[in-house]
Amino acid sequence: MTKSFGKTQALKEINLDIADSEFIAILGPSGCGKTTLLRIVGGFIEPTSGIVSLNDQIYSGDGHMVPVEERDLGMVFQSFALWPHMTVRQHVEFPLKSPRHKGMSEKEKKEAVENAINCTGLKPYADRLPGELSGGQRQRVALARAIVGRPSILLMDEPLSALDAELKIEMRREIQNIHKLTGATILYVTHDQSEALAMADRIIIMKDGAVEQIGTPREIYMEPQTVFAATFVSRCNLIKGSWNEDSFKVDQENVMLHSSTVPWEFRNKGLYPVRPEQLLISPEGQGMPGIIANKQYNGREIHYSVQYHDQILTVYSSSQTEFDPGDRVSITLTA
Amino acid sequence: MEKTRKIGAAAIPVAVYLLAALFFILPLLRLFIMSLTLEDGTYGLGNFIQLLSEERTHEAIINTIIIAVSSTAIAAVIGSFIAFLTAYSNIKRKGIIEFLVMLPFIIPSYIITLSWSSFLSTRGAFNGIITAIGLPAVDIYTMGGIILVLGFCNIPIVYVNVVHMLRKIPRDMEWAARACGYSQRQAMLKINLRSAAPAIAAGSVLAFLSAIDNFSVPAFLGISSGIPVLSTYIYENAIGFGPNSFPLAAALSMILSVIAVAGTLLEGFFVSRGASMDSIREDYDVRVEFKESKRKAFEWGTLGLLMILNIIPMLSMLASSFLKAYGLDFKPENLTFKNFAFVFQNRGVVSAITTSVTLALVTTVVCIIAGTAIAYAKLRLKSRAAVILEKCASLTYAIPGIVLALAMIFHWVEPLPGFRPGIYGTINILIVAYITRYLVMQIKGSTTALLTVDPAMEEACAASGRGFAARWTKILLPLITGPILSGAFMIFVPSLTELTLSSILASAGTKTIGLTIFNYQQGGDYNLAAAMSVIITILVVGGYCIVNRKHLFSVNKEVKGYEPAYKKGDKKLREDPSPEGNQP
Repeated sequence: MTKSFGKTQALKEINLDIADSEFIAILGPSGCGKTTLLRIVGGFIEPTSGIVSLNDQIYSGDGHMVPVEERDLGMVFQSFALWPHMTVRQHVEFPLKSPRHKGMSEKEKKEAVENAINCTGLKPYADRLPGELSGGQRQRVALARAIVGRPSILLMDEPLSALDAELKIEMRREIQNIHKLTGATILYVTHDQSEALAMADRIIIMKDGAVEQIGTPREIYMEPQTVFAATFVSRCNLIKGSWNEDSFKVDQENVMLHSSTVPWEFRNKGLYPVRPEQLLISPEGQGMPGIIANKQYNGREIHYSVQYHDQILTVYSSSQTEFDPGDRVSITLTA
Repeated sequence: MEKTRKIGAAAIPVAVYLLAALFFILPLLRLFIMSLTLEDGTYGLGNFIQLLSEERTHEAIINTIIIAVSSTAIAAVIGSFIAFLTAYSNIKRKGIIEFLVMLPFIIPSYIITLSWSSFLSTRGAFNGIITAIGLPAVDIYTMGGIILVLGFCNIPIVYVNVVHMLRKIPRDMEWAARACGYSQRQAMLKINLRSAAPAIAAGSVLAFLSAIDNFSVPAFLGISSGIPVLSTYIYENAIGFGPNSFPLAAALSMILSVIAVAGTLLEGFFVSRGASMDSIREDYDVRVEFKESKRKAFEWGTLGLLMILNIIPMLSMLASSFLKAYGLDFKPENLTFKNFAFVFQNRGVVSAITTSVTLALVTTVVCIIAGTAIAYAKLRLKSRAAVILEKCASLTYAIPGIVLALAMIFHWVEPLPGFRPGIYGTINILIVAYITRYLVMQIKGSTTALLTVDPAMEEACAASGRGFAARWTKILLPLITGPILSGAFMIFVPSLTELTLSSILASAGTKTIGLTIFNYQQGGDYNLAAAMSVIITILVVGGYCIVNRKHLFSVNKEVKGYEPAYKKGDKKLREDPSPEGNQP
């Protein structure tokens, strides 16, 4: 599938297969086309070419365009998109009163509404207007509204970015619970790496309208396939050098590294990806020489920036020995 | 030293309260007392009893209400519909449509009335065609005529209120309804229309207020045909020379003011209902895609309607301004430049133009300075005195112009016991009256302009070690001058073309443009009135185009590059992710 706006190509040949009940996170920096992709799946915009289909039914493309309201989906917006004139209960009832749910009996509808309100913990606020709710409560209303009709797909457009740090963690758990409870397929757009790693079954990394890598959180983190994926998700340091078969000689050092799994993109560019926690700092001695440029105490670990030739390396160290800015150190690679 | 400063600081609010009382409250109080003053000098409700027992008063009240309600309905329906089309649909030529809709906002209503009476005159082309095919001729000097013209005049009031609200309704709210299983039409009705309802209501109340306030339309169309409404009835009483005419006019004014103030309160209520959308930026994206044929139908239908409403009557007026005598056919041998030559040479006309331009300039300058100072005191210094001053100033804007004119006479002859400034009968009474009337508009305009400047910007200036002068010349003025001037234009134009206040307050030497045209029309010199109106229209519309050139241009550009504009919307969402969701 592709999407162009005028002359700019927003999405370049996106090919995706998503299984039932999967939790997919679409991760990328702003402007990478992830929201566009979500809106195409939702049916808010039409793909320039290609097909979106659910099971065997074509939703978009090939001259078809099933309108949003006839698609089996629920959506949570970044801005929550609550209606200021409706109470919490009215929000949750709203989807069930649509033609999509004509087949449901009144009793079933009532139960569904109670269920959705209960499982999002909104019972005490059911008769309040959005203006009287806190940010987290509003987010729960948006969630309840999206799941009440038991859609087979849930679309979430950066649902947590408007919340503060602590609420984010809490709502992550809530969204995971909802995923387990409803069994819906979730498409979750975010620019927050830790959100994607924490919740998703699979992560799609996007950049400039193209997919960089698709994989489980572990694959993405441990085995990034592209330079972008390596730096964006696991904050890899890219050490310069030259490849010869499976051995890598670090420039200006007498250090050889070995790996059979580093992908071709790195090899062609003469780079070796190293995650910050793979590097070890020790007092000057064996290894690559560096000077501590910056130190940030983070509790469990200390984040150092180390000046190494013309490069700054990021090192996460959990060791007891501390170094201070200005210290000359040497860096080695752990297993 | 410390003590004198404290006294000085305390003296300022007191001075402000006194000024507010002198300029805004006392005139109205004086009018109220006058309405209770009986012929024999005692006080009582006699004037009201006498008025309410008169058949003509009943007629005036009933006419006023019928005319106001019906014309509001016309303005509300047409204004809201066009607002929907320009805010949401994919019709093209939105720039020109918006320009045409806004025309009645800047062209004074008496000129619009003149154009319509010229277009629908008994011997005009339109009635010629109508009678030729056997239909009865349309007479504009009727209730129906007044309702139609007033309705058309008030379309922009509703339009402006609704179109901004529609654009502010977040796209997400509508999409959320779609995702809940509702079609676009249902989402529009259940979410967008519902969210815009307070704006439609507020716009309608404003149109209603403008209709009961309006003097020129019923004066041009109703006085000669004997259709009284409250504003013209007050005028007739005030310029009449009966022994009790002023107190009776004052009593009528009280009746009209009660309706007006009630309407203003209602409007405030609706505005506060829609206030949750205040902080949201406007979204110009196309939301409703009509198919090509439907789009063309709506686009050209709207343009056609606006042409009929605004342009054709104007052309008819233009044509009659070239006629040698009223009612002649538009043929080469009947055409002349005599009317324009007369208008440019006549000493009365030249002096009227001088008077009006002077009035407009002085009013605008005073309002800009005072209004901005009050707005600044209100927003930044949190001055209670400024807030109260604004409330008082909005009172003299809420009451109908004809009522304010009367109050001005009663008050300024002797504002304080023993103090006779002698401004009645000079141009100064008009200046005072205009400032009293329009100041609140500038306070509001300057407030809006100042709100766009984050107080932190001023604090940053102070933190950089710069003082009061730098704060104003380097930070505030560069940022607010543009918005303030374009707001002040909306004071300059109405005071340039004002008629209601000057109809009562002007004296022989201080006739205004509006009053001169009014006098020509009342005296039967339709072609002279038309010629002068044409000149004023060209000037005012030209000024409007210059002031709004950026906006006109940008709307055009936006329409040209409209195609699927989703991408811009995406960006807007990301640039401005309000951390609180869609509620402040």
